[in-house]
Amino acid sequence: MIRRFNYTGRQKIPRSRVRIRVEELGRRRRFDAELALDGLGLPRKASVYVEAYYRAAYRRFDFGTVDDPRPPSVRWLDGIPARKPLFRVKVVLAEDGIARILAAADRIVPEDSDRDEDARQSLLPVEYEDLGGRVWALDLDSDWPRLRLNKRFEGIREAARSSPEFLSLVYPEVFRAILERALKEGRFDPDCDDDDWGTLWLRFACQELGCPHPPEDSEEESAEWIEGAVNQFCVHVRTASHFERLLAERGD
Amino acid sequence: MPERVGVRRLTQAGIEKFREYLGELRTGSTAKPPRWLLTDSETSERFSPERFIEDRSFDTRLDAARYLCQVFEGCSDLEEDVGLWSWLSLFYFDQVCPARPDGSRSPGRDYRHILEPGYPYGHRHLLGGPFLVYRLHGDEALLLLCTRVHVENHFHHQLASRQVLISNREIVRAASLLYLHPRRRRPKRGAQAGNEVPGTLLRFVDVLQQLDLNYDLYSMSAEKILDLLPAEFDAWKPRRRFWQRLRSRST
Repeated sequence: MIRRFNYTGRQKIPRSRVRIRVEELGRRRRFDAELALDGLGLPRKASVYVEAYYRAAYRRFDFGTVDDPRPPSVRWLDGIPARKPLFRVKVVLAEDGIARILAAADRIVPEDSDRDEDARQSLLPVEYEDLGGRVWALDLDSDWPRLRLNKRFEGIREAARSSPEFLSLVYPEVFRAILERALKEGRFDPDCDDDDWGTLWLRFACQELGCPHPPEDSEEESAEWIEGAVNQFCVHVRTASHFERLLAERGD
Repeated sequence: MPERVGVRRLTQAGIEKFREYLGELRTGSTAKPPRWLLTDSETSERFSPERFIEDRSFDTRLDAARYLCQVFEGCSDLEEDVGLWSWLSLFYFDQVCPARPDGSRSPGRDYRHILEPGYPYGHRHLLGGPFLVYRLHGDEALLLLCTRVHVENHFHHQLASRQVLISNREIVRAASLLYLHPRRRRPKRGAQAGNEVPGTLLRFVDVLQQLDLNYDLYSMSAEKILDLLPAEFDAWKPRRRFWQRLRSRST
């Protein structure tokens, strides 16, 4: 189980205080960030950075200081292959070459500039990539779970949204894999805020699907709980009727 | 002087034929690489913008990556170009999958030769992985890329798979200060031992991921990052400090 300890009391910057939008201009993309850091008790001279990242690709932008925010004039996302990378905001105080993070917000999913309703915290961001012979894959080892779809298949975007194949056969297993990882990493902390993907997924299971609070220690109980949650999920998205539709379309 | 060849990309048909060949090798086949795939118009297509490449021999992954970075200077969006990296792998196949004396080869998993972009296998392509690391870190990536072209060492495997680590030049430099033998230009003996051995690579990865929560490692120099490491890493730190201390005592 991977647990990390916040030894130096790093604050979390509430999501409501960060707004990041990505816009496409021709073949290039750039971002805008609105940060509201007042009232958090941060030192005025602390530096503010916004970082964009996707896999090994990473770019960092100096946004001035807490009391003198200065967004850089150049905010292009060149070199980052994803259409919408994730973002991180850090407030940093450096002394004698040691830079402490005083406050941070991580794994921020940006909005599209032309789609305000775009999910700022999509539970399952989707990426379209060339996956060779695979139709889909689930990336659980980046900072946020992502569904990877093979862009070589025309119409896969629509298929993933509403096809009976995806709804009945793919998503239950996606859900299962995410829950397994969330519990394995001990991510369910009811006091955790919305920065944590595991918390959000488990909260979805409990609040939307009516599952009980997941067990925290027993592997056996966790496996049972996951089975129950996946069953509930199947009821919720009506996998059985989608599968019947699939068979009917095939004429079986 | 080696002939210069126009770079191409394998088409989907070419990739599938290449995959079939890799499968044959795994069953003990001693068939020669299907180099015709590289030029046949059904199995490959011209890479754009036009680039030329030579069939050179590389001592290390660093040499290969350095050369490929020169060839593709100014090109973008190569990270997910499955056709390009598959073509390059076939082009350099005798180096990414050398033949044994009996003619057999050990290709390993397909993703070592046919790029599977992203996690978990993207960085494991034997040419694409080093290329991406070299483009980020240049010759500072020697620790990760000091092996033969067909051999991936643990430094590459552990660091390149983690965004927080591989994207930070000073972390790669800190790893080199700890684990790269300054004269031999090779990893120090024992540095790749298991997690239970104090101060070794896997502990470095664990500790840095913990430090990343509280310290802005991107703002810090490699030397300052080393200062944050617990005592278990002292034995790996550069001896230069020892000599500096000695010198300061003697003056």
